[in-house]
Order: sequence, then structure tokens, then C-alpha cells
Amino acid sequence: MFKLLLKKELIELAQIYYMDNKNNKKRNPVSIALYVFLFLIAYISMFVSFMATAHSLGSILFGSDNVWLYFAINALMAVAVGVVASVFSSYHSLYLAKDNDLLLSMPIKPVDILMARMSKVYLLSFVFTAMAFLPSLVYYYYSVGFDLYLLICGVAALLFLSLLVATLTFFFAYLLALLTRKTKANSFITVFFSLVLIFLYYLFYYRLNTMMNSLLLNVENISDFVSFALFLFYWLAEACLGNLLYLLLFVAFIVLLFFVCCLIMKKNYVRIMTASSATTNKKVDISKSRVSAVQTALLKKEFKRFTSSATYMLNNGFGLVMSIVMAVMLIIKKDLLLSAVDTVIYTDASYASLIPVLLFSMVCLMVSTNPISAPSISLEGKTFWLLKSLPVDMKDVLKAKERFCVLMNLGPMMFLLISAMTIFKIDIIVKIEMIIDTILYIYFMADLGLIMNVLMPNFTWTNEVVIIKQSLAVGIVLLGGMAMATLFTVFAYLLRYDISVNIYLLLVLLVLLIIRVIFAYLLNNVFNKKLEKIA
Amino acid sequence: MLEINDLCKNYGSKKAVDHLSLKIEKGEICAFIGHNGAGKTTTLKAVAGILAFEKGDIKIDGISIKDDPLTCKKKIAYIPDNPDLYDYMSGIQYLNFVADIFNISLKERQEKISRYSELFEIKNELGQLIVAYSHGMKQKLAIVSALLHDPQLLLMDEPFVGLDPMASFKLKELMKEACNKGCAIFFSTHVLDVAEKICDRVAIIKEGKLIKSGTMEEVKGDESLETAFLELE
Repeated sequence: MFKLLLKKELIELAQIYYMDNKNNKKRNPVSIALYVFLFLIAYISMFVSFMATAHSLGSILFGSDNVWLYFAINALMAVAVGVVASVFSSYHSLYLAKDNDLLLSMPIKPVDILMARMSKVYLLSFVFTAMAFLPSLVYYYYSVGFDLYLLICGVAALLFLSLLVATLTFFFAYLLALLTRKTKANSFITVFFSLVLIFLYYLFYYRLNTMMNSLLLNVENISDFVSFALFLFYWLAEACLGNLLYLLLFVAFIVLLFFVCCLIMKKNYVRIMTASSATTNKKVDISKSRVSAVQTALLKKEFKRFTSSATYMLNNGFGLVMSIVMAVMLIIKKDLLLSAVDTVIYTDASYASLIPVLLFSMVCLMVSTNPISAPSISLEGKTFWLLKSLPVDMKDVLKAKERFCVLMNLGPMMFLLISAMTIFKIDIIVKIEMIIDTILYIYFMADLGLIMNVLMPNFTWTNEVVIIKQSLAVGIVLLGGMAMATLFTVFAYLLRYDISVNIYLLLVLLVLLIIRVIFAYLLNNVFNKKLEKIA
Repeated sequence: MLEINDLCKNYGSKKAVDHLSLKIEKGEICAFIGHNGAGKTTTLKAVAGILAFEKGDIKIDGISIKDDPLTCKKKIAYIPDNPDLYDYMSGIQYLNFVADIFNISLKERQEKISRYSELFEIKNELGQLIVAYSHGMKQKLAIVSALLHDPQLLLMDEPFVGLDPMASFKLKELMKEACNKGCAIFFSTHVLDVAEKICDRVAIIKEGKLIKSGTMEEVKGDESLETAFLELE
């Protein structure tokens, strides 16, 4: 039975390449080849970047007494990458698979279902771990040389390091499933969990350079610390260098960890898998109902839609969190930034005039990463009949979606802009222009998203990820917004001797204002009618 | 109350509704009968203003849905066969949303939500997210939301599917009550016994064409509605 289930899981995994999620049809051979090609390009790019890191570490550690530290640090990186990359697919595969009820209704042992799904997750973990750890092995063999025995040790280390990554993702997935089962705020927990993981991942990479420098100065102390506190990575590193005893210790420890994890998960696997979201039996007090105007009701609806989906929040609202983080970082690292800017201005004084435009473009880039309105019409999906049957003007529907996108962006972006403006000495008129330009740009992005979505709607999706991550409307708005933000800087650079920043920002304001008027006219008179006709 | 004149709706080359004309007066209950794919849902969706159509006109209380859709929709309530509602809202949030769209006063909505949710036994579930509702509960919620603004024309697509016997009974009673108040009801069904018991009129559609319509007696004569329907098929 396990083999059959495993085959099914592997077919599902392979479907990513040969099935089109948008229409559930088989891709044509050219499309499959293109998809595989793109995957390989992305994978090889990451592989090369990890190879560069391995080279940097190798140049410090090869030839020293602490070569093992080279493998230990690379393994730590691989674990970080592997866990971040596969924890959510692990959660979805283990607990939220669509065939849960179907499989449980068949004469199949739940443990077989669990093991088959774990095998799939292991395979995914292996792909990500190999991407980050294999370069370190290849670079070591290339620089120091190798024999068959060393190669076998390396492959075994990689296989069991992948099992460690998989076990950690099983554990996190279990934790996430337990938490979301007990609460109604599932999407917020998922977003919080994701942000913590992403934060830790970036913190690790942000500190990598500092770590390497201190490693260079303090190899002995660091190696003592790692071998003691992170003994598992010491064992793995020694295993990569051909130490059989440490390889066996490492394998035994990982297998034990995996076994314990299986025992814990197996215990209440079916209960968690079949549990629906936490429900409340609390009586609703109907007298507490509030009356809202149509626009407010539609706006509230948009807010509920956005906050109900972790995928929507993470993919189309990540920039909101990042802009707040960036604003805080700008204030904290103010002196560092000012000295860097001074150095640049020292080489060419004309660059000083570019600062306000650069700050404005930076905020625009952040706005571009939040295309909240771009999938919002398609996300109505099967419920679109409601808006069409209710006495609500499509103009109001579009206005509510626009307002929601603007309101979500306004606070964080103004915080970022004002934080950036306080660092530099900027003329008050220019500051006002920057604020108005930013507001107009936020409107531009919201309107562009709506227009693109009305032109390319998709109401027949079965998985919202297709709309949020893979729709053409979102792609165009995201890249178009980024391109526009970049163009603001490019034009400012080209025109820096011809017009003052004051005039330049005024021109930007005029352009954005004209676009705003055109877009508002189109949304109120053309695209509302187009939306009404969509069945 | 409802006047459909020469309605035509195509899906590509397929004629879903073919020159259909029908009239329903205030206070009448009209059953819409036909085999699967005959064009019942398409007609109902066109009347509800969800689907645009190529030819013909639909008038609600004398107002064309093409000319003034918003005024027409204020007089209508539509309940689809498979009520896909906003899963991310709780039952009470959904009802308040619908009430807001119809601009229903606080007192009136509280009174109606309380009455209908109690009647359909979903009052205790109104705090739950709709995603946790069963098909039947969603159907009940859709019915409650449809009744909030006292519609003048109630359009229902297979309203009894998924309802428990008690809820079906209560819906039938409510339909009669609404009719007595002057509401017109136009609903599709495959349950011919129910149609025969509660309807004043019946319309039979086949391959997009209305093949027979009239009062119940005119259509079925001395036979049962089921026999009359099968003879026409």
C-alpha cells in the first residue's frame, strides 16, 4: 500500500511540470520544456551563488586545522534554506491535502498515508538541501581532491542532512497544524510564522559577511563553540571529511530524531488532518449589528478577504511589513547611510540633487511589491454571482477595491517616506511634492491592478495561489510598477543638470495626476461596464 | 411583476435560451421545470441580472433590467442552486453585508435576522465562519439573506436541494406567506410533487424553448404534473 501511495504522491509532484494549474489541462511539450528550463535556470543560479559562498569560506578554512568548520557552516546554511523553502509545502502536503477524506475512507492505514507524504516532503527537502550543500562538497572535491570513499561519505552526509531538514519541516508543520487547529486566526498565524522564518533567514544572510570576517580573526574560538554547541554539525562536517565514526553518529542521531518525530506525529495525525478550523459555539448577539453605508460594507468585505488568506497577505502585502522594517532600519542605520551618501556626493556634487528622487523611487518600489488590487477581482471566483445579483454598482465595487489597496499602502509607505525624509536635509516644498507624488503613485498602482484584472479576469480557479502568484495581471502590475519606479530615477539622473529636483518632482506629479484622471475615468465609465458584462 | 419577452441567450454556437417569453403576476408562484441543461438556470440568472443576453427583454415591475439594472435588483432576491457565499465571513457578517447593500435599517435587520435564522435553526451558528457551514446551512443562510429586504420577486434555483425536511417545509410555508403579501416567486425544481402542491403556474422548458406554460390546471389537466411533464418530454 505504501508503494502505491508513494507513486500517487510522486505523480502529484511531477504534475507541477506537465499540468497547467489554470485550466487543469496537460501542458504542451514546448510549455513543459520551457517550464523545466526555467526551473533549471533558477536552480543553477542558486547553485552557483552557493558555490561562491563555498569559495569564500574555503579560501579562509582550507589548509587550516579547522577544515571541518567549512562543512559545518555550509550545512547550517543548507538547513536554513531547506527549512524556509519547504516548511509550508510540508504543512500543506501532510495536513491539507485535498484527498484526505478520500484516502481515509479507503482501507489504508493512516501511518501509510503519513509515510508516503513524508517521503514526498523528503524529496523536496533533498532538492533544496542539495542546492545549498552540494556546492560545498563539489568545491571541496575540486580544491582538495577526493576518492570513492570520500565521495560515499559526502553523499551519505547529504542524504541524511536532507532528512534532518525534512524532520525539522515535519516538526514545524506539526506545530503549525496544532496552532491553526486551536484558533480561528489561521491566516495570521501562518503569516506570523512565515515572517519569523523569513526574518531569521535574512538575519542569517545579513550577518554572513560579519560572521566570515570574525571567522577569519577568531577561527579557534568559533570552532570550539561550534563543535560544542552545534555538535550535530561538527559530526556531519567530520563525516564529510571521511570520519566513519562521526558519520555513523550523525546518521544514528538523525534517524532517532526522525523516529521520535514520526511517533509524535502518528499519535494524532488523523485527528489533526480531519479537524476543521476552530469554530465557536458562542451565541451571536444580533442586537450588536451595525449599519454601514454601501461603500463601507464593500470596503469591510475587501479587508476580510485580504486577512482571511495567508497567501494573499504574504504575496501581495509583504512590502507593507518590509517598508516598516526598512523605515526602522533607516532610522537606526542613519549615520552609516549618511556617510555612504557623503562619499558618493564627494565624487560628483550633482548626485546630491538626486537624493529626494532616489528616496521617492525607493518608496515606489516598495509600493510596487504590494499589488493588492491586481488579483482582487479574480479572487471573487465563484462568489462573483453575489455582487452581480445584488443592487450594487460595479463602479462602487471597483472603488472599494481601489480604496482598500490605497488605505493598506498609505500608512506604511508614508512612514517609510517620512522616516527617509527626516534623515536628509530636504526643502519643504520638495518634501510636499514627494508626499503628493507618493500618494498619486499608490493610486496609480491600485488602478493599474484593477484595470489589468478586468482585462484578464479568471473566475474559474480552484486554487487561489494560481490567481495570487501566477496570474499575468499580477505579474504585469508587479514588474510594470518596478519599471516605472526605476524610470523615475533614470530620468532624474539624465536630467540632473537641466532641471532642478523641485521642477522634476512637479513634472512627475503632473504625469501621475494625468494618469490618475485617465484611470479614474476609465474605471468609472469603461471598466465598470466591462465588469458588468463578465459572466 | 415579471415579464420575459423573446429572451435569447447563446453560449457560443449553443442556444441556451431560445425566444422564451413568460409572464408572472404579483402573488403568483411559478415553477420552472425542465431536464438538466434545458436552460432553467440560464433564464433565472438572466432575470437576476447576472447574465447578459443577446436578444429580448426582461421587465421587473415594468422596469427593464437592461435599462435600469440597479432598480430591478433592489426588487429581486436570487438564491442559486449551489450557494457559494463569502467563506471568509461569519454568518452574521454576511447577513449584515447584504443588509448594508440593501440599506436596511438596524431595527428591521435585527428583527428579520432573528426571525428567519431562528426559523431555519441557524441562529446559534451565525458566529461561525461560512467555510465551516454544510451545504444545507449555506442554503439556509442564502434563504435568510434573500428575505431580508422583502423582495417583490423571489428567484430560486432548486431551492429544496440540500435542505432537511423541516427546513423544506418551512420554506414552502414562507413562500406561501410571501405570495400572500404580493411577492411573485419563480423557481426551478425537479421535485414535481412540491411544484404541483404550491404553484399557481408552471412553465416547462426544453432545449431552451418554452414548450408549455400556464396555470397548473391548464398545463396538467386531469393528470398529475409528473405525467404531463413526461408526456411532453
